[in-house]
Amino acid sequence: MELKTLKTFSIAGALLLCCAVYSGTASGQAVQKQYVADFGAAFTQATVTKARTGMLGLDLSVGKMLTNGLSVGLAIGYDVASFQKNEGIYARIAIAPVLAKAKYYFTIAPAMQLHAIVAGGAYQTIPHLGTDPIGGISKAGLHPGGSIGVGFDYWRFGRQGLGAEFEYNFFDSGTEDLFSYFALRLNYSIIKM
Amino acid sequence: MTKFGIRALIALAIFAAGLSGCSQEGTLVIKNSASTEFAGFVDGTQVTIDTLGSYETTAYIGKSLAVVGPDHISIIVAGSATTKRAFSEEVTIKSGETTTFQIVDDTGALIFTNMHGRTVNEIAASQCDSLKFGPNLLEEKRTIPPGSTRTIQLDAGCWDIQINYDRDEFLEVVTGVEIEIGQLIEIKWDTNYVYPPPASPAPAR
Repeated sequence: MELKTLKTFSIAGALLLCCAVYSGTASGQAVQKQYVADFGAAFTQATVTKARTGMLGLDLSVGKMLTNGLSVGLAIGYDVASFQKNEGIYARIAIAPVLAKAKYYFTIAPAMQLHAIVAGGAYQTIPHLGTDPIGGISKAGLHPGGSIGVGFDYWRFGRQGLGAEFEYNFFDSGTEDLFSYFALRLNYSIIKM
Repeated sequence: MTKFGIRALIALAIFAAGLSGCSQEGTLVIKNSASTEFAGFVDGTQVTIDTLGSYETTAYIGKSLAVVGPDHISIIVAGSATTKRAFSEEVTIKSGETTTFQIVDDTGALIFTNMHGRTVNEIAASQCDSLKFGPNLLEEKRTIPPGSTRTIQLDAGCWDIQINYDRDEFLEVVTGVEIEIGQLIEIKWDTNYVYPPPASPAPAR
């Protein structure tokens, strides 16, 4: 548990360092008091024992810009983090996160931003497995956890944007120290007043 | 889209391709160094291994990303041999490594054949220097019909074997059965059976 937690915080620190560029506002990006909705499609992959190749995740997040750089909101999703076809049976584990999410944007060029994510909340596991548990999970359940991540946004179409992000999710499975999975996501974003 | 944006997307695509190929596996080799055949289960798979034989399997550990994710897995090896008592052990297999698990003798065994015309009901044993016989050694009170054979595991030492047979439950004792770890001793029992002492080495001239 301790080693894994240390690793997690090391990664978080590294990601934040990667994002240590100047902050500011550029044309086409969200500013204070506006809302930003992200519609994401992701490749999601569990990084635990017995995990197989991951699959698709669909996510939606809505946040309010508290400042020109910081947004806070809610994110939900449905991520299939391990998938295996075995003798006609589709063994898979899906995870539905419900997270309070904070995003901090760093402007790197006109219409281009990097962002860092920190989120916390609950993960509902939805396993459809054979005999082997994945990451110690064999039953549906609700687990506390969180995520960290980094991403890139390209605001091109007035109040719309395209982006990509990497998010590392982790939660306590109750049987192993941490269940973790990552999502490599493409986002379509809309800014609302 | 600017050159920077295109480069960023290409970098992400390469990153994604790399991420999907991080399966972790390890190899488990089980060597049967016992004097008799091993039969049991390895990670739920039924396995038999001849004496001095081996069984090799690749254990799938899981997926990992850089320093995050599993680098080992524990699997259960369980079973027994005639000269190895039933066991169940957790073996840890590390990613990219070969782990060897050795099965060694930890008991001797008596191969008991009932040559008498009546059923043997119970068999009990006591140390040669003790007067007290232990519990029935036949599994689940299974008897030994005439002509049948049973294997009975015994620790190393000198044993007296008490045989309870027939409907009238006669008792007879075979004395001085010396047994060692990994040794198989065959007894073809009938009434008035006398266990032959081990052949003494020829005197030196």
